[in-house]
Amino acid sequence: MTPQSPVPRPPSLWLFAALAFNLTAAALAIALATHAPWLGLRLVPLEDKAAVGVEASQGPAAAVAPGALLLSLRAGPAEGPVVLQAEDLIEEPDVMASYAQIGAFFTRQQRITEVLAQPQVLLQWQATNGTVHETLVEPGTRPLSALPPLFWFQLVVSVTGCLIACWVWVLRPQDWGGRMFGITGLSFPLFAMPAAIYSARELALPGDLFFALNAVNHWGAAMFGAALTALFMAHPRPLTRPAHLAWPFAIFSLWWLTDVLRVAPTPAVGAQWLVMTEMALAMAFATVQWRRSRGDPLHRASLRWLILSMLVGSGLFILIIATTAALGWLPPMPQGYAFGFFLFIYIGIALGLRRYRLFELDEWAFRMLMWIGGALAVVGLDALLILALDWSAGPALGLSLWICGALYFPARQWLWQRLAHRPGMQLNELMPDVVHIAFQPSRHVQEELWKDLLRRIYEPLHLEPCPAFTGMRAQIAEGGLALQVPASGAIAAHHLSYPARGQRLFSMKDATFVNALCQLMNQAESSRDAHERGARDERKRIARDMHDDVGARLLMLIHRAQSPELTELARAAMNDLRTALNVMDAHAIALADALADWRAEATARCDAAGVALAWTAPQPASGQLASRQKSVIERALRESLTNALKHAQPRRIEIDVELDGDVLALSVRNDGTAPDPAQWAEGRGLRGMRHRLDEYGAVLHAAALPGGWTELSLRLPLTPETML
Amino acid sequence: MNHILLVDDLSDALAMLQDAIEAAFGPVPCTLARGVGEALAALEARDYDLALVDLALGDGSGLEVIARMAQRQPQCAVVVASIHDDDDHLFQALQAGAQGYLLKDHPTAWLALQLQGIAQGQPPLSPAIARRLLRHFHQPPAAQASTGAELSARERDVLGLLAQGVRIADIGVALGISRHTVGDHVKNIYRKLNISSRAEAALQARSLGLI
Repeated sequence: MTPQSPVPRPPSLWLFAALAFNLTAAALAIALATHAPWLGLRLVPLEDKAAVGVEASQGPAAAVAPGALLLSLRAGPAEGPVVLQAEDLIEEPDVMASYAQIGAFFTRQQRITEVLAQPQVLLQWQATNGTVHETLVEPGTRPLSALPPLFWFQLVVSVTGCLIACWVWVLRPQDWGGRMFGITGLSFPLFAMPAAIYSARELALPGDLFFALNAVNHWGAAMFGAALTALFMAHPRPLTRPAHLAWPFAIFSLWWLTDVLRVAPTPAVGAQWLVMTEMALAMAFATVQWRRSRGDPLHRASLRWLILSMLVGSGLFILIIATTAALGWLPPMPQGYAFGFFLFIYIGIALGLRRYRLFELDEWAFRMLMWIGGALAVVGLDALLILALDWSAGPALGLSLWICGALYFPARQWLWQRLAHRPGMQLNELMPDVVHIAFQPSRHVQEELWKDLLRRIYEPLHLEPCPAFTGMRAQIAEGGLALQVPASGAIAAHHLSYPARGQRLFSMKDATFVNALCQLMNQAESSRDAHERGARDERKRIARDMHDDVGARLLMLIHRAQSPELTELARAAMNDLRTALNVMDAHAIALADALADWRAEATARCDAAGVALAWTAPQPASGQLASRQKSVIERALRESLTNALKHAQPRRIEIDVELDGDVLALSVRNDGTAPDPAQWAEGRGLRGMRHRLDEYGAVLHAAALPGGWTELSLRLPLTPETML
Repeated sequence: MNHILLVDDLSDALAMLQDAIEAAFGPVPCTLARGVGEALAALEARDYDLALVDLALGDGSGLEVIARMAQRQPQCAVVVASIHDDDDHLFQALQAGAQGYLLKDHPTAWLALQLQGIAQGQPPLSPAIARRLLRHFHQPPAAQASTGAELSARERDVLGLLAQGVRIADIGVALGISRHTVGDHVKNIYRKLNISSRAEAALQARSLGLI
């Protein structure tokens, strides 16, 4: 570790710090929630009777019957009673119309707290049969078990949200988007925990404490929104300098001050409008980001996910609240549970920022949109039927469910076909291409055709061979920007990036499709191999029979022949038999390999005859020879060597092979005592050679060179027409 | 050269091989076998310095004789004497443990020269066989690593030049070593081919649950 580079703190350390912060905040919240004097009653506001109902009783006030109405509290028989109102149980005071009402509410909370702080409290309550009772109660300490589920729910949401944000931030500490997200996380406990405390109160909290908790809750919410706004100012690409990200925090803190100092005209302006403005701003910046990310599929996908989670989260919130308030077919839901939707948004944003499997999110995004859309359609139609046609709730819901169900599924299918399932290629349409590729004789051509096919299917901006990829199955890489296609058959693995000319990301479906394609390719290749193997086996069988029968007889002829000429004739027949049989093995051979074979044979023969050989050939030689081409050249070379060694008694032979464009030029020179080629009587050998060479468009030429050398040269065009 | 085994089902071929041996080494006692059965019996009976084995025998394949000989008498040089020159046939024989090959239709004088070469540690190796060997040792089957049958860098050099059709004497010049050293490399390559082939066969048998 060099002294210049600061030791980065391990991410786990930060996460532990965040956890400690959350646990401390939670402990504080629990302490405050259990601090107030406790009666042991579970109370519900009864709006219609403007009274407070008793749902359950235990502990100090166990004598109060469930179902009763709690009428008033008195510190003692001599003191005046505090008459209870439904409003005393209100979950969130911001919903009141004016600051005066809120002030009065806090004053009443203070009075109730003072009464409950006495050692003994006289409760006046009305049983279900109408009789009024008075019970003397000694308020105790609230046990943890008496805290309502709502309290714990808010606590859990708060801790989870904060930890998610810290996780994202710790992993992207240098990124302003990640930092802003981290701030939203830190503000989570600020708004959720105070709300948890006062929404879980049994009856009342000290007025000042309530005021302070409410103010902290508002500031937390304001900072959450400010950070969300700043998040979209900085992510995916910065719209301003980082310093300007401080503006939302400053402006909305000032706005919050107008609320705390009661300068704002109404609580709605001080609190709700603030949050609405922030959300609108965040969406506005998100829209700008969306425009700017044109042509950048990764940013797009990330944004799509961020925006979608915000829409879905707030959509669900509105849906539930609207349903509860307007239609009355769901039980009213405490607002505290709505924090759950924030968590929903939250996980979505975290995934978007982390770019977690972005390539799969599109499909999920579609499903969720359809789901929300379907639900909203049901609710909307239901509301229309109830409000406009004055239907009763039951039949209205039934009819709207039926109508929406009938329309929803076909619409969903149609949209799915249009949007998510892009009109791509079907595997069966590609079958002819795959077979065509598999039956190409040259690996090079196969590879080019395969590339063309991949280009046609995915239209990637980049496509290159990637031999380093050795996986058996396709893999999505670089967060969906790239797809790695495995090697199939003789074709190398390939790396594709930016599909659809950079308009989209690769999805799991693409990977599945290309896997199926590779499998098809492998099958086509193996069936081709099987076919070739069969043909080769057959050729081998014929070759073996020829060797064993004809070869054995020729061998006998070679060893029993009475004259050297007959022996030589039989030996030549043997050689021709071999060459002919080798040709049946119809593989093309590399020119370099053919040159090596010829050189070895020429060297061996010259060595045996005690003649010096000078061999010149292109090095390195590239290109292919059909096996027939190889054999015709091989026989020509053999024949000319035989002639030179037999008739000329040379001391030195020079063989030159040259590749002149598509023409192979071979020349055999010797310094022997041959007569002028112009006077050669062409023997059977030379005539046969010329005849065979004619078939391949080759030209044979014999000449006397200055210095007593004789040269036999041939030029053979290597055009594809001669491949057969 | 003390004793030589000749295996061929043609009497003419046996006579020709005997001529070649006489030309190469002078009078050396030879045991003649006309089939796989006779050959296997003969190789149990005594030790040989050299064995010339044809591949197509009346009662089976010469490969069996070659494999048994390589196993029982590793000191004996086993040479294929055949009319097949295609590398498929020859490579199988080399894998079974042969250390060279002759084409029976070559003139006796030429055969004698080659035999002398083999006896002096100059086994023949055609470019086609060399290419085949390079391919064989290029793909690293698990068996090669575990049996120590990988080629050394020098052996690869030798094989590479052979594959280009360079003769053994010229390879020695190119690599700055004697032709005998080149011959030793070639013999080692043959030996490693045999080792790796046997190891592969064993591995295959194991994977098939045969052993």
